[in-house]
Amino acid sequence: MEIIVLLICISILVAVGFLAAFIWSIRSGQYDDSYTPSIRMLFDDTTKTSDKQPKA
Amino acid sequence: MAVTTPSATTRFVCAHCGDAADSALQDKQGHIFCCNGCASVYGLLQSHDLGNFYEISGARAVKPRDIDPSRFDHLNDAGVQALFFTYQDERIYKVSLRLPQIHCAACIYLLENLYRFDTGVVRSEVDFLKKEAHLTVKKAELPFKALVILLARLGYEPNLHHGLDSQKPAADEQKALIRRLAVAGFAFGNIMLLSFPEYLSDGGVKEPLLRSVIQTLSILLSLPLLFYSGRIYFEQAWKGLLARDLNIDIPIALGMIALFGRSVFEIVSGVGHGYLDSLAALIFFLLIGRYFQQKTYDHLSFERDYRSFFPLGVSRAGANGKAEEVPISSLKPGDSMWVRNEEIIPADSILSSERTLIDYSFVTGESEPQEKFRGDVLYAGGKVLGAMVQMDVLKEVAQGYLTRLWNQEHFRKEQNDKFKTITNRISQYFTPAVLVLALGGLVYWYPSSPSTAFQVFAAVLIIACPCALALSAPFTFGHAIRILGRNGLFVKNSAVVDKLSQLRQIVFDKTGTLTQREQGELDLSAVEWDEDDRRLVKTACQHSTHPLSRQLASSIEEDVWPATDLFDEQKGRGIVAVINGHRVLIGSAALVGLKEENNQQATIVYIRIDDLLLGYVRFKNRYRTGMENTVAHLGEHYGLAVLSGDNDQERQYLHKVFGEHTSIRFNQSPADKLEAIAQIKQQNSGLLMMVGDGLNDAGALRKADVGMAVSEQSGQFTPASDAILDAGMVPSLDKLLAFVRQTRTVIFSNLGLSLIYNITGISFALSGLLTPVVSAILMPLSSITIVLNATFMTRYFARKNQLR
Repeated sequence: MEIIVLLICISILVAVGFLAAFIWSIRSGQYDDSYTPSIRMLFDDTTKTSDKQPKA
Repeated sequence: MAVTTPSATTRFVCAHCGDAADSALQDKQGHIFCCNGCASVYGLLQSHDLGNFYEISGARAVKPRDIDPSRFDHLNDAGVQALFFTYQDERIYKVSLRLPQIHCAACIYLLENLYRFDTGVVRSEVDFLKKEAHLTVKKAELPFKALVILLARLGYEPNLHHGLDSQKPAADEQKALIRRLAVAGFAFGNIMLLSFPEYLSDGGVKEPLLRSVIQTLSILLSLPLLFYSGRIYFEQAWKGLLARDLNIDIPIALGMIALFGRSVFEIVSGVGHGYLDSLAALIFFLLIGRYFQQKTYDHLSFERDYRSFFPLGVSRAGANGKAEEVPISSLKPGDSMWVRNEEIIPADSILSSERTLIDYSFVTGESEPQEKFRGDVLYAGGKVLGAMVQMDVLKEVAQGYLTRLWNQEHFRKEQNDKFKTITNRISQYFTPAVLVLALGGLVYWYPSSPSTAFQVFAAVLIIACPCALALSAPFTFGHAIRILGRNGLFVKNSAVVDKLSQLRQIVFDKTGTLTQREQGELDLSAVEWDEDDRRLVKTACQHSTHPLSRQLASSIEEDVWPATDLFDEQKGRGIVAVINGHRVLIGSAALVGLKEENNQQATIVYIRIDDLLLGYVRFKNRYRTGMENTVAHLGEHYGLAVLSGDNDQERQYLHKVFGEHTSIRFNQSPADKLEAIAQIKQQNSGLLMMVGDGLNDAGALRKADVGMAVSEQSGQFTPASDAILDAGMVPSLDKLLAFVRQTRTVIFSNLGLSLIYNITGISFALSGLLTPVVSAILMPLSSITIVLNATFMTRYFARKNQLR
């Protein structure tokens, strides 16, 4: 039976860890803007498009 | 998508913004543009290798506008910059700017590649939903003003008003709520898991060690739940108790304490398992409800539109040096404006006249006027005393600042016992009734089943939450304020709308309210004057805001004298001025030393220069078109009265319009008007509104329950008033007030909805069928229904009354 007590304690510690991680993520501003990053990731990095090489 | 191909150019659409374009405006590659602005931005983008922009946007870019860099001169000021910067040191500054033009993915692309235009930009990040850009910039390479100009050139002119009324606190509150929610969710999940064995048919864990560990852990987990996540409710309830006000959070806080106390008691004494799982679920769902409520409110936010400026005007010096009347919203830094006697300075400015006296009592409460000289900075909110002065505008008009000024404590009315806000009226009965019901349920159930008794107690307290009621009035009135503002009636705050909706009496001032200020006819045939006299008269009149002075001044063609040595405006009498060595008296018979004659047929203003009486000007009032109808409609709902500073020659006409029994008083001095208001208030029950021009009836406006100042093109800002009505909308006053009356219908319909909901909910709760958790889910739903109902019904009534 003692092992269940130990397991419960460990599981709650793990949960506390995730709670702390979540609160940290709020504090660091990760939830401030949940929309723009989804667009930003679609932009190409290459932007060399001078007029000599017209796009198809 | 690629619009840079020739096929696009043959259709003659602008390669930048996609508007119809003129083929004459081409660049070397044959791209066609609609204007030079687009062409230059296009060139700019190409030369900085940002051609990708057009693939993302599909040539639907923001059209750049011509900008005048000097408009942003005030941004060089360190004090102004500090308002915008979120961080700065010697090297860099960080700034968050609101760019309302952001509308598509390409905007993000362009703005986040800003560093290609100027190496001074270290980092730029766009928040698309808020339409904001967060920028980190090197101070030396790109000063703030240059940054704003760069953005404006690209077509993204920042909304610089935004920085002044920052909404930071709201965002912090939102974050705190999410944290509370996270803790509540954590406690909820774990307590549920630990209570799992209790849900099974054999009734929980029998093993003593495990049992005590589980119970101790549950209680430990519920501590942060109650004291961190649920703290908002306790705080609000405590505040309410301190203010001796049974507010809506008291029942909720009581319910939580009841559940927690009973659970701990049961666990410690070994009677049962307690309801810590219910408590956790309750707080979790209450907070989720709160979160969604906040989201809904943000969405329907009735934040005052910064474009709906006070319907006020100022005299701006136009290109040719002539004064032109413009709305204060179009006043820009660098403009030169004239401010007359008793007018409020609408924006921070620098005095360019010789000297003046400024009364800052609206700002500081200090009533001693301050003497200011050329070059001194004059702050918005000061009142000019004496002759008209010229000043250069330093900053844009801060609407928010003026509104705050308007709402200041010392302009509040003396408390009126007759008036109670609609919400207070209801809630003073509501909370006690709920407490009685909950206690009744507890007493009724306790003998048969103590555990059900506590469930019922908590469920009643929580479901009966009158949030719905408390929200109804602010939302309805908030929307009403916005709609009224769009229609030229600017209301100070929602309490004024509440008062307007309960109005019984309306008292009108005649001149400037019922009559039109500037287009009346005047008869100059009884004056003998030469050109010099006319110049003197015009010079004296231009300093005054009185309608008759304005009218007289605009009827004289000659130029004004540049300097006035003395100017004194005596309320109810007239003007005394010394100009170019002459003493000019314009006003009533008493002022120029004649005996008052009462049998005059029109409003008469005498003119005396030095010792010579030149004669008199006869003013004929012109009533606003449509007033007869408006008055007739208003008469159906309100008791009416008229106060006039003029003599009684128009008695016949006014009685015809207002009806024989309406009290109409003539020859009223400002003090008489005040007295008259007090009298009418005493004789009649119900709230009274005074409608006047705020010039010589400021006292009366303040004395009335609601003071409405009618503002002609150049109205003056009268902090004593509760509402400012655009003069053009005076004939629509009946419609505006009909709309305001209907806001009560909205509130009462919400009341009905919430009553039905509460009665059903409470009866289920009392019969023990409703657990606290279900109540906690239903509660926010009802609030959201109420808010939506308030929004849509208000809009419906606005449309019904032909309001915009």
